Amino acid sequence: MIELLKPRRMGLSEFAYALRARPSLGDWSALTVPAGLLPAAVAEDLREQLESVNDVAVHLVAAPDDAEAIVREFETTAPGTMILKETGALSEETLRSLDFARSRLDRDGAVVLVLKLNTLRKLLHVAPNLASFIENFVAMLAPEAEQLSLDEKESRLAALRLWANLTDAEVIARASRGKLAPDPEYAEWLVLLGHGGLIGRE
Amino acid sequence: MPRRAGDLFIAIKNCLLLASDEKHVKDSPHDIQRKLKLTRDKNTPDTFAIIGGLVDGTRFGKKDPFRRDDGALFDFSIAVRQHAEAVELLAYDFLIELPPGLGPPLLRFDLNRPGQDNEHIGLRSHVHPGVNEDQLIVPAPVMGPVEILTIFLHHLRSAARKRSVRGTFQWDPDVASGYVDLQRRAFRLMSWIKLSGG
Repeated sequence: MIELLKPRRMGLSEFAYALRARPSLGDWSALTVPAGLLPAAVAEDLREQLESVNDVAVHLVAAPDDAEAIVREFETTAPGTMILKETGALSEETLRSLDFARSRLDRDGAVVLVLKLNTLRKLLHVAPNLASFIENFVAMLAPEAEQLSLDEKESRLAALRLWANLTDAEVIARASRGKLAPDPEYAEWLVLLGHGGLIGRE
Repeated sequence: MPRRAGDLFIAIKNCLLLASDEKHVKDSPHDIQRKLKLTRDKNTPDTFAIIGGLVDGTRFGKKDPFRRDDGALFDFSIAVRQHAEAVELLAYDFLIELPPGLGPPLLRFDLNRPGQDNEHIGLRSHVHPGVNEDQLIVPAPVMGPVEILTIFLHHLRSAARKRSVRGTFQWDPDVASGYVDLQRRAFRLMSWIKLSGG
């Protein structure tokens, strides 16, 4: 079922910016977090980014594996965007209970679920109403989307080598000896080579 | 300046995305995501580079600049180091190629790496007006990346003074020491030119 949703892979800032462009009242979305990253940490970064692009209040709320506790958060959190971060794995029972209590999940503001991929899969199978809430905007966090890929890094290094007519080894050697020309391009070059520590200490 | 390189990256991205929303650049939000990249030094994790409009994803090193609505093209590369209090600008290179009729064909705003031999004569931060080489170099204030982008997006354009634009240029007090020093550095440069027989 998750395949039917075709979640987009997005960097965090892209996701935050896309949220900004969506209507806020009762609008749900979900961001799934790949293995190795904690939803809580991602949710905290998302809150900072939403606050930087949005005038609406943003509330970060923990979602324990307890449907009644989550519903209470919906009922008591002030208006504004609510980011619900998964703190422990949400069980199928909790998700079913939330689905059953959907009428109590209405709120004055957008809702963003930050979940592990497995939890999203469970939600899509056992909570059809919640699934319909989020189906218009489900994204998979792709931290690498904002990072320079290996191909892009090689492309930049090739351009820099051509520009300076120097090899990587020559640049590192000159920087180590304090003999590198002052041009700012060399700073980027050293960072790409993993020798950014030399900058300012040449 | 923000505390983290990631925050600076986001501020730059938001500046460009807003310009896309308002049609000041032809690049779509997707183009901006593709053209703007952050990379962390693999051996020095407090040091980063932010690259905009310089990556086309091929191995040939072609540029892929941002495209302003009037045809101007711009790209940049920034190196920063994170400290507990704020990000330090180590170096930057912002280039804009202007459409015909706007005076110089290009402007390049450079901040050289700290400790270089032109720092003591006030030329660590400078502008190359009209030529993308070192024949002509003018001292300039150290500016925050978003400030330079604001100039690129809204000010270095035809009839900029007549237009009401968002993103009004504002000094960032954290990098303002460059402005305060500007006149002193210009005098130093003039002295240096005289000493050099220029």
